[in-house]
Amino acid sequence: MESLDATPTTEVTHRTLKNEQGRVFREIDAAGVVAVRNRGQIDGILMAPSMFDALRSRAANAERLLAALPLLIAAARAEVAIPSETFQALGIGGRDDWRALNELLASVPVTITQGEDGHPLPETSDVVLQHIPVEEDDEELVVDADAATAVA
Amino acid sequence: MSPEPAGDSPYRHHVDYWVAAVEAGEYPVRQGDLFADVQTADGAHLDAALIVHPTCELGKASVRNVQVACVQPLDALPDKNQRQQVVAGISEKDGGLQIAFAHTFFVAPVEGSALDLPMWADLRELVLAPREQFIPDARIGALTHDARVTFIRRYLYFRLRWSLSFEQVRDMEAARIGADPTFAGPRPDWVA
Repeated sequence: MESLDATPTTEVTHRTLKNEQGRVFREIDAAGVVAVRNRGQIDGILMAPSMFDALRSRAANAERLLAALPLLIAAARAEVAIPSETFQALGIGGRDDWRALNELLASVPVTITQGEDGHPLPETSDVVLQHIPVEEDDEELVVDADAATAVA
Repeated sequence: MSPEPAGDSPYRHHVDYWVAAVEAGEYPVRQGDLFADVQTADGAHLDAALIVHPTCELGKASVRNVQVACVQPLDALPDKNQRQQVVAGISEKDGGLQIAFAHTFFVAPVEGSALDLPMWADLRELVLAPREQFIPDARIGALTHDARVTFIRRYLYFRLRWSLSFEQVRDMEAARIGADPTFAGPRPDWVA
């Protein structure tokens, strides 16, 4: 994993930020992270968009991992093989036992964060579902078999 | 066993899948029920099939064929990792838990039956089969109401990519059953 150090390597003052914007942005390009100091205190951090995106992505990854951890830990403790790329990469195995895997999944709280294609699942917990009873008509269609065959 | 899957787990504990054999006679044939040796409408033979046809349609005389999903033994998957993904319904990738093989529904063994082995229904492989063979006496397993919630949930994700929680699907089922005056057989205890 690429190292992401968001520690400011240089500082500018409010006055510099206001009066020398060009230089400050060149500093950001060069240094990556610039602290803005005012009256002896750092009250802002400036960084390149690419670094901000990388940090945001890293935070999202950490959140995902946090959701997966209870299952990973439980599987490791129970020594049950689970479908896990991380375990595969680390060489962590376990019993290949469908019963044990099913029991593990049925007992450990898991949070699924992504759909089958890997994209984040939409948040649907606040979607209000309401069942509206309707009267159904039991009448059946009368299909003209000759006409249906003609289309087919 | 717990009354519902833990968190987002796609499936219930395997012992909670099927209505006990001594009670199954009280339950009419429904979506999710398991049959063996099914003849399809085009004359093929399926070792096992799971009904996906809407339950309310099964009793209609005009329904000649029932939509079923082909069911395969877990052993039909030679790859160990794929078998595990089908049993779990999810897999861990890049630190996240994601839905695995959405077109599959894990089918637990029916103890003491001809299908006493772990299986999976292939939601991509839906076929038509003449209705007459789907009678309670021929049924191998009557899916419990709770397990049916997991089936509907899985089916919704596969068909529509709707990711609803177990509770959301169960609440909708509870409302639907509660409003159905023709509902036959024991009701789930989560229906008011």
